[in-house]
Amino acid sequence: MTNTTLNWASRLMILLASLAAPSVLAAQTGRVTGTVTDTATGQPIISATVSVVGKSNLAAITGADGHYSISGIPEGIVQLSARRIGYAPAERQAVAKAGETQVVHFALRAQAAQLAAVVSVGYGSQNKRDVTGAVSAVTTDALERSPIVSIDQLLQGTSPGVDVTTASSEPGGALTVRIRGTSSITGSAEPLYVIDGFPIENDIDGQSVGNGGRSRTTPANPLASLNPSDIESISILKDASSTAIYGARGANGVVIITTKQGRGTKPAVSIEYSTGSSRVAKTYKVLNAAQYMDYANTYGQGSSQPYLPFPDSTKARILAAGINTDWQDLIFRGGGNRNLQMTVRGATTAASPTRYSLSGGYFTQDGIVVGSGITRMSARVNLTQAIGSRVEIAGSVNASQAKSKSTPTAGQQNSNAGAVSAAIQYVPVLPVRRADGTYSLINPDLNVYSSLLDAPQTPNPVSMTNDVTDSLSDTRILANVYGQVELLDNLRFKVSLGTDYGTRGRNTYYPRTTMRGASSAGDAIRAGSTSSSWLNENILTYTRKFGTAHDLALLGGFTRQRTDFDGNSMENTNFVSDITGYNSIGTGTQAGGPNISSRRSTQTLQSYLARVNYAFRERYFVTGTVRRDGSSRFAANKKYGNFPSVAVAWRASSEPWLQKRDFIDDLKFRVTYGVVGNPSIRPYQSLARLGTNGYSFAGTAVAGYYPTSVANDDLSWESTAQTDLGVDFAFLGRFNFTADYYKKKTTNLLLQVSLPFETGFQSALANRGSVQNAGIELGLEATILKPANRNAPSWRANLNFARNTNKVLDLGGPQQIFADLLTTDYNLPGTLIQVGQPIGVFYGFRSSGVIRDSTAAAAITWKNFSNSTFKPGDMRVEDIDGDGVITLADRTVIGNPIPKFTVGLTNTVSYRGVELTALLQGVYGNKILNINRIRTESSPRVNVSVERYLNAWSLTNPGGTFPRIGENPNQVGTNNFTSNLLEDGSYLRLRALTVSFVLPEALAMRTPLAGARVYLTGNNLFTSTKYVGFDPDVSSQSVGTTNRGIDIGAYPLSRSITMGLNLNF
Amino acid sequence: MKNLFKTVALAAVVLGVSSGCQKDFLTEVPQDFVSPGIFYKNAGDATAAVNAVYGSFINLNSPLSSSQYMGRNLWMVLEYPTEVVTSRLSATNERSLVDNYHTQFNSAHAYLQGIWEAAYAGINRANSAIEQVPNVPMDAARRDQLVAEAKYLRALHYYYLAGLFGGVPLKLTATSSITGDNLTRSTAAETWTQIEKDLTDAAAVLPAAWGGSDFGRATKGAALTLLGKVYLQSAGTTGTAGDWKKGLDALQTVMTLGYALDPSYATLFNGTNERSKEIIFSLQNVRVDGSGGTLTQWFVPVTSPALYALSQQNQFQAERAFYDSYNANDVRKDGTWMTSFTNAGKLVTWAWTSGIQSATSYGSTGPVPRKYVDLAGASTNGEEPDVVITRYADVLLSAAEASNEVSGPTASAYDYVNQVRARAKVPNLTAGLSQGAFRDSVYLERRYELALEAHGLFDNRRNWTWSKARIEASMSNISTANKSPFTSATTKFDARPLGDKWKLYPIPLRACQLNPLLVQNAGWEDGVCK
Repeated sequence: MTNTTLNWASRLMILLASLAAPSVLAAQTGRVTGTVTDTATGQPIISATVSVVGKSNLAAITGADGHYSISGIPEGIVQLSARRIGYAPAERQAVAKAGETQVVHFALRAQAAQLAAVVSVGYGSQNKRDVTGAVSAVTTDALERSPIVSIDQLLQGTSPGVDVTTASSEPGGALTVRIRGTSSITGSAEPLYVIDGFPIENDIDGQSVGNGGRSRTTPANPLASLNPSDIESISILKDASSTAIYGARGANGVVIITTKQGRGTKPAVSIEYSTGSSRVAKTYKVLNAAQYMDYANTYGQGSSQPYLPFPDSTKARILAAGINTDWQDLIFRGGGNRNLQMTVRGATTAASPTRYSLSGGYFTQDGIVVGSGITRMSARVNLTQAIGSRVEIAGSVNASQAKSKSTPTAGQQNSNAGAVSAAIQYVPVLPVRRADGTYSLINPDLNVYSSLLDAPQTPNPVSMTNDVTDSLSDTRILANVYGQVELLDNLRFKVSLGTDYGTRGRNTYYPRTTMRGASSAGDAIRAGSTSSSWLNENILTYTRKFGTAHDLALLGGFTRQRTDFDGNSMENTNFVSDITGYNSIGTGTQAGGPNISSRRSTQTLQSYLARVNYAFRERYFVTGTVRRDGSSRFAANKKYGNFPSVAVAWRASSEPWLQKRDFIDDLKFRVTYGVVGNPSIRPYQSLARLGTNGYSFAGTAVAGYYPTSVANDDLSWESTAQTDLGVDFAFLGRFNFTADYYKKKTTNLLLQVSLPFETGFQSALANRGSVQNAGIELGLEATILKPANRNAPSWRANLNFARNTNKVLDLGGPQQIFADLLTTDYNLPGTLIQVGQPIGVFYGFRSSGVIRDSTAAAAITWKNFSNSTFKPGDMRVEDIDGDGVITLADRTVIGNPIPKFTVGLTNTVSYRGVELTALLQGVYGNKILNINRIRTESSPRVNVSVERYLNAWSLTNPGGTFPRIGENPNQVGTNNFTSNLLEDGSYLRLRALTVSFVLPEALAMRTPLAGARVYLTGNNLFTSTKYVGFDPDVSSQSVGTTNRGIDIGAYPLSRSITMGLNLNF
Repeated sequence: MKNLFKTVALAAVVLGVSSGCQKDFLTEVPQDFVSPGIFYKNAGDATAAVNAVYGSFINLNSPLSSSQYMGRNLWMVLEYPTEVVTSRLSATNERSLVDNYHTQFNSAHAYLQGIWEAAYAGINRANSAIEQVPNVPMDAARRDQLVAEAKYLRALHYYYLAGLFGGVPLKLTATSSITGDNLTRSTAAETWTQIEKDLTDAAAVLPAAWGGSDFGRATKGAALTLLGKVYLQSAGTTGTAGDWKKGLDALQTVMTLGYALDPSYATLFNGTNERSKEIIFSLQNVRVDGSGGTLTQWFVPVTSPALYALSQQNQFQAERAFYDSYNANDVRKDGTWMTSFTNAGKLVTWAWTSGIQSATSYGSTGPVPRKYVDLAGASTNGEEPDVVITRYADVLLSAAEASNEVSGPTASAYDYVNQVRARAKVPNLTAGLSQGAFRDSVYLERRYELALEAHGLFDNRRNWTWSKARIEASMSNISTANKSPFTSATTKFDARPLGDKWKLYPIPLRACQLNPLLVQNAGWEDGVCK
């Protein structure tokens, strides 16, 4: 240490001392002594601090016998506090008398780092009842209630305003989480996840391994690597006042996850094992072989060139051969899962105790689609070492590896179709394999019956499930170490260093037996990526009570984070044989050589943060937060942004005039306002780029470089200003009611803006446009039956409701922007982003049912597409622009994929150790674009839905809800869809139903067990919906903000039963 | 409280920040791409920057494709409007709208937009090179040449823009910000003057020829030839009479540089004679996917089985009247058009009566182009033949035209034309023509000599009265001569008589939407361009 630092250090000590040490009174004094013990064991507690509240110089530390003694206490009533890391602090009153010794004993209760009543608020925690912002907490209690495969499932239906949508139900599949609506168009709208203080950069496309021509990409799910059993609590920060401490990353909400820490004194061992099985919850009802042939014949006879693909002789021959393939049955199977978790938690009783929590987990799941599954192994160590009573060093390491195998299911309807898309389409009159053992193909094998059937180039579904290899491996290590020093009684300094290291690899091979592999003589793709993130945080907190009225907590900090990303991808084709699969990718002889790419990026974040919490008489609360974020991703002129917020709260129930109202337990009103950001700019987007461009001189290629994009020196975060009005009301000792109204306006949206052609560029990313979200959230926790004793029946319920309305206010010039074309062979327009509408509405023709008879047809005053006249049995299409004929100009906004409201209801009933928990969850008022139906409700070139066949309009069935056979109900012209394809996505689902039995304590005491519990859980046992597809909780095209609510061969939902056992020692 | 903040600051300094306080912690340094800030540092960088300007004619900025510019659409808008070639598609097809001076042709036409975008993208590449290369530490002489090459190429882009649209916005600096001010249109005269300046600068610096591995770069002859053509275009379309003389001077200088007519007309366009003394500047194509020509699929007839494995579109066909008007001995007839070919081992012969019909798509009702066709191309943009931008025959005919305007049909003017006719194996031009008749004869000679080489429309515009009459005559004749089976004769030629608005194309609608300062050409008002 140099002289200078020594000098600094000594001055620091002087400063701290002068801050914390008021003048000592030299009046008449008394003495207090006593013992501090553990409530559970009765054992003395060493190194506990006992002090006189408000006079930190009057304090003592307990010895090995738990004894303490404080002298020099001025006469009068004093408040004594006893504190010890790992225990809940306790306060007791004493009356100090001059020259006398009073005895005051303390019994402290061991506790985890956080009790249910304490919630994480970012860089600290707070008593729930004192929180000024809109924060939802998922407690340990809820976490332990049912077996949870992933954490995002836990968020589903349990907190108001948190909308979780399944992008894919496949094992390890992605979910999208929206907190208070979508406030970005091109950026990410996913919340920020903070795991044990480490903010996980959730850059969706940055983390994905290159898709390398696969039809499906899987973004890394930041929570997939975390073992749900390790979680102690989850806090969801929703309003700007709470998220402003995360500044530029707070606009989509923040989910704070805290893992289990050591507690108690003796080691507590917990073992959990569960096993379950699952089945596909619902399938498409499509025609069997006989029905299909009848349909094809009816269709053929009614066509403009009448044909009969299956004359009676052919039909009889096929049926006699017993060909009636149920393709869905072939690609689905009974799935299963096994889950083994072991945890040891405890703490040593030394003077400087060590708290520890060790866990290991193994989870494996076979998906319900043949060939899909995941295995995850994880290990976690959390250690906390106290050094004396003022220093704490802690570290945690979480390592996990998930290996999944996937079967291509989603995607296009042509040659890139996945197994599920293909299985719905494949006709029952084809066997799985031809006589020569090769897989049958709908084209050409179906065309044998009539070339007019013209079947699509869709791969054989069984070849996709059985022969395609697509394996994904995710390894992630999250490690964190911190040291915390209580410099003085009220002042703590915490410095932490953490890393998040992840690698992903994805290997895919299409052998010759698959359609794709056949055309390329084997197609191998390998891609890998590595991301590593470092974080350093330095946080100083100062907490002090001034007198009895004023509570002050200050927090200041400086943090830095750096994330590096490396990725590469290669693809080769034309292999000699399929033997080596993707393992010898160099042996492929693709014309022009393999496709190879690599990428690398770095992003950094440097932040200053500060927070003030002030409470007056526990009645009036003010919180002010400001974070200054500097991000490398922001452009040269906008490197730093300031994100302030303020919150005020009033606890009316603590007012003297309300305190006598017995039925009111707590009544608090909250008002918050703040500005937070969304930085989801990919790195380097503000910089100009040069691209390569070839030319040749004298017949030899030469390299060229030219500007491909223009710099934007002002590129910055999307800015969200949010106002929140909330009330928390607890009454009758049984009910906790929370209501919030919020309004968020996001400006400076990141949009691609068109540049004048004369610039030489087409477009550039710029901050233009705005979008608004407003809504209400209601939550009610009710203890309907409060048990008089532990054997009495109890009934608790948790109900939540949220409604959000989303509106695009401005797009920086244009009135509408289309999302990317939907990737089907139809080139359907993507969802529409239009000023005045919610983000991503569906755009198409409005159809309004089948024309029943000639009277109804005659009543239509306009012509159909291509100037034809509407006939009975046609689908009626509305002439929106009123020009007397259906043209492309008659397309309009026909539906919204965003629900009008979401609800969740959890009921827990228990009696004598038997507990029943049911989670009902639902959404209402959204539309789903079911693209699967374009094919299955039209011509017999693929199989057709039963409903479309049996309920088709005909002269004998004029009430049919589908147009006559031969008409496509879902399309007008080509590459467009009608509102007929939109379905009501509302549903109410029994997500989980658990019956558990807890071994009575009296019985447990006779065993080595501290406790035991067995349970049986059913997931997705029941869904009430009008949606005809596999699952209304679907978004197979996108986890982004546009093209949501679309179903093309999504991995279907499964229904599962799981049996489990928990043992605690 | 003040003490507390001091403490915070102190703690951060003393205890904090293992990461150290580099000043540039937030500065982004590109790792997997090249940004302008770290480029333009040496001769290799400077050369690469200029190479990309050459590339801007065949390898366009994504998502533009070469077919939107030199690879097809520019050819269509320059060739279809003549009586030489036709598209043979239905009347309302976007190609036929150009072909037939259709009344539905308007500023929203996609081809105009593509050309405008592609040319300005190329101009920005040139501007970047012209701005950056002079700062590169390297051999000064080579550096000046690189800048001169870029100026030549910038002038070539502007030559097409000015010829198509008249005066255009003069963008002469590289775009460095998204908030640059919009540019207004310069007048046609200002535009031609700027092009002349670039070409004069370039001609002063560029060498007469390049050594081995640099073959294909712009030369002094290339700059002077284009300069001559620019003066002629300026004189013929804006009435700047003095430019005829300047043009003649430039072209006569080119005649001293060692160029000569090639004895073999047909080989100039088939990739076998790319270093002919006749070729002055050409786009360098090689048979490599993405680095070659793209015209074959649009030129070859639709046949079954396929003549051309990659794709066949048959969108350029000879107009019958023009085809029949060739002198029987003219080698250019066979050098320009194809009437028989071997397909799948069988000799296929085309005839006006039978055409070449296909069961699945439109056949060929007229002879199809032979120029630039490469049936063995590596891909649809991997064809061997270089695309000739300027050649010596054009120099001679342009000089004849200019000479006639300056001093009438003199002996030297006759000599220029007769050199070209002699190589084509046709007799000398009738002696003793009036100035007007000589002028029209030169234009007719250009039709035969330069057909399918993207000069037609510009020629029309220099001699509008003559062209208009020929086109109108062709239109009344064509519907019975070789109309497409997919074309209704009654809806086809409804723009007659050709209005004078056709002397310029409209400014693309989308360009106006993005730059509200642009003013529309007379007769093309669309409610957006003011």
